[in-house]
Amino acid sequence: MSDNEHGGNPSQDEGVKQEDPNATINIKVVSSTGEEVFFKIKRSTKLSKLQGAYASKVGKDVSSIRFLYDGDRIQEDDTPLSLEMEDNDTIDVMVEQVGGRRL
Amino acid sequence: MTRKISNWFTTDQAKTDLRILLNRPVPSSQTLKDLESELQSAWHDGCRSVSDPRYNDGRDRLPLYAITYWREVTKSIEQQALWKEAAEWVSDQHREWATVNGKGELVKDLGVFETLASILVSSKVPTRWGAVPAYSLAKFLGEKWMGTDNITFMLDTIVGRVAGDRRMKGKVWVMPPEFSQAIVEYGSSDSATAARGSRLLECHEKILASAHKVYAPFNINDCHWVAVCLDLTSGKVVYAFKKWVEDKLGRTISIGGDELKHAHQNDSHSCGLITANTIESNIFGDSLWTPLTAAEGRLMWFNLGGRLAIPRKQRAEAEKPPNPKLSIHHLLNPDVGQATHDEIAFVGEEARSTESGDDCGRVSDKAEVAVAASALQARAQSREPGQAGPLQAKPSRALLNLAVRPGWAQGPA
Repeated sequence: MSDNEHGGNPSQDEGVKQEDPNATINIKVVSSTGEEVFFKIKRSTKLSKLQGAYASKVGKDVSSIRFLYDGDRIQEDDTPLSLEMEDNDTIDVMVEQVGGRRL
Repeated sequence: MTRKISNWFTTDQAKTDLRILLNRPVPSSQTLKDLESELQSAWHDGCRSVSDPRYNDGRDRLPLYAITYWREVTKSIEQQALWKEAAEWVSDQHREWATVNGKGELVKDLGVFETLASILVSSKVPTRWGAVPAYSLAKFLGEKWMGTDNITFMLDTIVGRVAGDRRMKGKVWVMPPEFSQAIVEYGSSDSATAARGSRLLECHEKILASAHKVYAPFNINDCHWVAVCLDLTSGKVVYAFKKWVEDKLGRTISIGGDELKHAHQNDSHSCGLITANTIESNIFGDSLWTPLTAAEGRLMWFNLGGRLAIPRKQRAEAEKPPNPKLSIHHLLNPDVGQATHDEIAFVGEEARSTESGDDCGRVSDKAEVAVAASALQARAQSREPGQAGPLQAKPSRALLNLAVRPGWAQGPA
């Protein structure tokens, strides 16, 4: 990183970084048991990529889990930029449930 | 033949044309799973390609993303199999009903074959809690268990009906499965799980503080769905709801019993549909689910979702308005024509009141479908006592058109 990048008004730099689709962002994925997995991705990267990586990391099929941001399901085309996510934001994982049997 | 999974990875550069995969079967699910779990450590060990030891004595050098390709193809194969099974079930039902009075043309009248043929595997069914994949609709066609996606879609349709009723707005709430999962987490003895449940429920505290009744689907042991009602006017609730309501909504409630009016399940696959029906029945007074009409109910839900999954443009093309000139059929069947006209006007008003932009267009579709669903339900309820359950009697063509063609009720053929 060059010296120049350290200079200037920090809040202004932060604003530029927020808008820059190539800037990276740290995202925490939390399961129902409180286990946390951290990812660093570009703000323009589709979150479906992160979902696939998470599923493979925990050894589950991606279709068997749901990812929520601020209580809403994350869609395939969503990106940190489109969801206006901030650094260190949390994504919650919910498992797919099924049922049919009579109790 | 068992091959060591490490034999699949090599440090060579990928040089084989990826197109060779088009004529090769995908590895088994287990091999794929093993490949995916080994990929990261193989990459750290300097591996740069996959060798597929099943062919060419393992001389091929495929890029590592061949594993992603196999995964995607496997997913497509599974979805196609699910869809094929669903289509076969519809054909079987059609054949079985051919001689049953009132059901002979039901599958055709509902346009199920057309819907099946029009849905793209990658398409989505929009709901207010986020879109659900259209391929999950195939579970309605057959005896498959309902998953979170199916329950979410059905409840979204019910919410559409609640939203259209001024008396219930803001008082009756129907929540998605994620809400119930968060409630269960909140009641957990594990502090991390309880904390997450609390955080996930934060956004609901304000809106539910003034609610009269809250309905939600709860899943038991990943094998059974039940409808739960939180009645804040009588102060009764079941399960972990109690703790959250007392902690966060500041109300005192007691645990009620099995008090919701509901159908009795006699099979091992319909509890998801009964859960949605229980909520509908308790809110709107709809008829309870019966085994006799289980298949029709599944067809109806599939069709409602299917129409929403078909791209708007494609649907508009298929639903071009009929020639406004009166046909001989109109003249011979004035009642049918009149019913269609009245119902178009109702749907049109609903659509206009919600449509104000592109996004809202989807909402208007949903409103129309919700209206069509309630119209079908209302028709079913208005039947003579002693008649068969909802939809068993053949619904009018006008109503069927409404149900299958949101946005435009086609005139009689």
